Amino acid sequence: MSWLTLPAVVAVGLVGAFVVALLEQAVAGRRPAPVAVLGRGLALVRQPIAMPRVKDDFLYHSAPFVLLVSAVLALAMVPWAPGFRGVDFPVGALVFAAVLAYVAPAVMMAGWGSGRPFSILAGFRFVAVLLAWEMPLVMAITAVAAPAGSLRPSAIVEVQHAVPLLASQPLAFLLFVPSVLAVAFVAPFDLPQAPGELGGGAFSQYTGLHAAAIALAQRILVVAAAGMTAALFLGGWEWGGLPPGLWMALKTLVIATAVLWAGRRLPRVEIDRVLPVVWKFAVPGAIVAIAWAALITRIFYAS
Amino acid sequence: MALSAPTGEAPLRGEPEPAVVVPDAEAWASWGVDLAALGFAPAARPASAQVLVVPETVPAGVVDAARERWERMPPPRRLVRLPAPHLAGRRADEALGAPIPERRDDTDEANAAAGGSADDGSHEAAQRREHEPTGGHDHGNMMEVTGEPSADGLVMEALDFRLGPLAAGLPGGLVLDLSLDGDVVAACAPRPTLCQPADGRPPDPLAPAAWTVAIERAWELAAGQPTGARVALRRVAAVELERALSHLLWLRAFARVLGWGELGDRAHEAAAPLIGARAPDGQLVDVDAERLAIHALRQAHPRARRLKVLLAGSRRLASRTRGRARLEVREVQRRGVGGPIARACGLRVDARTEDPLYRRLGFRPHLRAEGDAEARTLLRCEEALRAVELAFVALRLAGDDRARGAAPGHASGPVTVESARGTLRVAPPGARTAPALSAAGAAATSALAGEAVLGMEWGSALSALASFDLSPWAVAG
Repeated sequence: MSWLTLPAVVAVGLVGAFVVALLEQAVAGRRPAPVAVLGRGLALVRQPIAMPRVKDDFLYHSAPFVLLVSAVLALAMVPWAPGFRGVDFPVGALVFAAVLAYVAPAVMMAGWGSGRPFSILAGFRFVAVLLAWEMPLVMAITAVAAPAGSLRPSAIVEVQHAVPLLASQPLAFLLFVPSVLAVAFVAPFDLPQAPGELGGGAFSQYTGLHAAAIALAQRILVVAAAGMTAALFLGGWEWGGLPPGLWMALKTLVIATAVLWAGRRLPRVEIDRVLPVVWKFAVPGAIVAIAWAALITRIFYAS
Repeated sequence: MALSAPTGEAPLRGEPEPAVVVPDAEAWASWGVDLAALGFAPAARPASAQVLVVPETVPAGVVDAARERWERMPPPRRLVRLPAPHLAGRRADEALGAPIPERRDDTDEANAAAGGSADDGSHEAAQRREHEPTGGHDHGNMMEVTGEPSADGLVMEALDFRLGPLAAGLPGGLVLDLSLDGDVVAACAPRPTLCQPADGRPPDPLAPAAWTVAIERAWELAAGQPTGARVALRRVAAVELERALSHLLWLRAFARVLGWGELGDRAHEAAAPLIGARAPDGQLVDVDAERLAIHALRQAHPRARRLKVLLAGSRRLASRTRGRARLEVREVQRRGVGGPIARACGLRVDARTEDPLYRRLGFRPHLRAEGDAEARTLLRCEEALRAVELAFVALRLAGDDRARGAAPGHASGPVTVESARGTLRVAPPGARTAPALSAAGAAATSALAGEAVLGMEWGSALSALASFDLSPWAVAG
């Protein structure tokens, strides 16, 4: 990690968020309009910040930036290329899950801070979601770390030189993807916002720079989730023929497109139906995934 | 039935502008105004919108809520007034520019922010405020352990508030008096707030064709004047076109509640041609209107069929609707609930079965037995497709030279017309009395819907409530 890492991560986040905004238009059946996306973003930034009467000014005004910082930190854990491995902590894969856990306090701060009934309800909802999904998320990460013998994301990428972990650990993949989407509240897991149910939910009051920060953070979360999925399960920059960074970008793009496409084609999950499923099946499933990871590591990866 | 292939439409281009729509986008579509084609998308919250779309005359029931929305929209904001001559109300400039009559307390702000609106200032509302367990001043009390355990085993204080008349997930004009125990619905009382004056206009602007047909037939019956076959067929076509559009627009709104983008897109795709062929009063007045309608029905038919394929046996739909707000047949019968809600319980309640003209067109009502939100959704989808087919056949027959003479019909008794939401009854006028109008079972349906969602988590409750397709228009009758 050098002094350039953080600016580079921010640049990746901005470009990635822009691409995600275009993808959102495409999956909604509209022609991607880059100028309109930039214009909408600039209009939000220039819009005056509304100062509604809220329950807690500090929580209300700081929540969007806590969310944005969480998203950028999650993105910083994603290894993009051999020469640009993000922060590359020795336990970076676990830190990825840990910083995503700070999305919940941000949502709760926004909901509680604004003091509106549905905003508070949205905050509570998301805490329940996070408590349920964080466990399978961390356990799926543990499963893919086993073959690498490390929680360093770049080490997990390198162990997939021959076989991507999606092929050897499909159960962990099936648990990781919904978990990371739920924690990043990407549709169909957009419970804390739920436009049709809660009228914007935890973020219903925000305008201007606050709203811009939230919109940016949400799209960076999509990039971080897609990027980490590509790194942990699709071999990241591995596979020859193309520059490593391009491979990683392509895989991330494909996953982000698939995620947004699925979000448009699936109804929002119901919290009272999905949580029992997570606790009863996803958590035990994650234990099975770890056992399977131990078995294949013992047979194929132990040297 | 096979209609000709669709001509297709260009997909929506560019980025639609988020707009707060009064009363709602579906109402405008039912009056022939496609807001998506004008570049507007309904915004879930006023803070994210910079455009307020209102009718030139704003119905009294939503004036305060519209003004609140307008005030909450960040600058630069813009007002778009669209003509709606069939609506009674206050002029938009006057309604939105009037000063706020009273300072609103925290409860009102909270409600408005949550998609609700201020109370109506009545004594009842004041009493209600006084008795709110939360006091409406500190929603932090939600965490206090003071009440009885709720259905999920947790003990929380109830949160009482009024949602609507301009709330996300509800038709514009519908209000819910709601009590949430945590996130579980403890009490729910839906009621319509919009009302048209008895000045000759259809009492429910969402069903103008059905009401107009019923009233015209009542006058004809009173005068002993037979209805011409061509006129009767045109009326059938207008009512069925209205039914198809109503059901498709309901599906579009329901998709928004479910957060299901694909369903919303497909429903809009099927509804778009019908919106284009729709006059605000829903009538098919001349040959040109008939031609336009036939063209629209041809386009809509394959799209409605694709929509039916998408929903039939869909696990995605079942995941949100199966077993939700299931109604007992006996209870539905006892309360006199009709329309698609009764038919989704297996009850053969449909005024069209008594109509000789419909029988001649080969009409048979669709029925489902399950009685839950899924059955109501699938039934409306099937009815929309069948309505497109019936309207097409009726228009074809109306254009046929053989369609002459008097249409078969009843000689006495109240006139009944099956609208998209249920049976409309009009008693023929007397020498000095106007026709007496009533929407059978509308109030009972609202009450039943409120009871059916008790004990549900809010998201599930809202989707279950939406499956009843409650009208925000009260028929004064």
